[in-house]
Amino acid sequence: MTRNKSADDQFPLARRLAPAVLLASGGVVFLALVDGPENTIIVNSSSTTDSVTSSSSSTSNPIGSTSTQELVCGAIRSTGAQVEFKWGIVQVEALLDGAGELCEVEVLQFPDDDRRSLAINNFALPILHDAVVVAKNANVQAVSGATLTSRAYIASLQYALDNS
Amino acid sequence: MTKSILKFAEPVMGTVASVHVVTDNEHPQVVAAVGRVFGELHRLERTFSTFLGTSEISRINSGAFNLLDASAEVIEVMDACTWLEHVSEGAFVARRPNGGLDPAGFVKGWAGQRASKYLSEFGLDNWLLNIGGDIQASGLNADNKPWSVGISNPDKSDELRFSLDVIDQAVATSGTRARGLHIWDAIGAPAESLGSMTVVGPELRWADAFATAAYVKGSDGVAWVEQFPGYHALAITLNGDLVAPAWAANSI
Repeated sequence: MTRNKSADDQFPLARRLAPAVLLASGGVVFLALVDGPENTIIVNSSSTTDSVTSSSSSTSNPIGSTSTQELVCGAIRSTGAQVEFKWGIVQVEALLDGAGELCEVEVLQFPDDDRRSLAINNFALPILHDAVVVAKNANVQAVSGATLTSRAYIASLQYALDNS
Repeated sequence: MTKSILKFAEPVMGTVASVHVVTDNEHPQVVAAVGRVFGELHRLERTFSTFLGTSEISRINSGAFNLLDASAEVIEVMDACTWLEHVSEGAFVARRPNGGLDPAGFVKGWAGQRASKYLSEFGLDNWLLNIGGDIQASGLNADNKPWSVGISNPDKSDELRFSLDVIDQAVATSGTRARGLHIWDAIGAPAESLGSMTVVGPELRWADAFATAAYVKGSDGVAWVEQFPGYHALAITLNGDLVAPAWAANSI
């Protein structure tokens, strides 16, 4: 076996990075790395660990937040695509109120199997939590984290992003 | 003007791959391209999965097939793995204690990057491929802005710790959370000093492998990644603090 030939050849793209720091209002720091016109990285970092991060300052406590407004659950509906797993097809619909808060999750399709059916409640709660996060992170298109298993994906934020 | 976006998802490699394509009106072409992407991922899983006894890797490990007769793809992957083991001083591992091959830590990112070429070949410029949280982004999103990738909080996977806006970049994160039963992404015994390690850079195959190695290295892994031109690491500690490269640390 030859050694590291292919890998070493993969780094011709060395470019000088020009770090630039921008302070935004709302206590959010943007760290911008400008790496040529077509390669741009911007880090949007929150200063606290327990709040949802977004480009603008956002509120935390996604599940327990209260509203004084009269809001109709289901004013916004997001029907997920059918996702086919080896053990069956899953499809969910998220119901949000007029403020974008998730109020209900309906499982439209789930494998008709006693053992699997028991899992619906286990799935529903994470979906509820995650979809609220999606509502507050409308600018995010993908989530990077430790790899999800197929089943964990159903309960994940990425699932909501792929089906919103 | 906001363009339309098509989204696809497919279970593969023990996780789910999704593709978002920004498009005008060539839907059949997009469907065909994404079908090729998913087909390629399934094909590469059949070649490299250590869970499938019929895979080329499994047959090599069982002695039914000689590495010397391996396909060019297996040679390419093991070649890269050997380099990664060397350059990471052993933090990246692609062999089991018994000597068997286990290139899973490289294959997912490599396969994703390889499969994504079909999107370019079909003339698609603006898309995002996500395989279980390992992301290759091309061009701009439907709002004509950089793709925004949220990095999940290691403690609470449904919350985002920070986000990265990227154009033509890959983003990969390594951590213990959600590794669970699937060993497709489980490499060695990771150091427990970090919550997660995220690497951003031009190519998914290297971003993914660097994230795996840097996570094992712990907080030193952030500086280690800086040696690779164009690649940067951001770590989240168990306390939720952000660890950034030295040149950027004062800015965060």
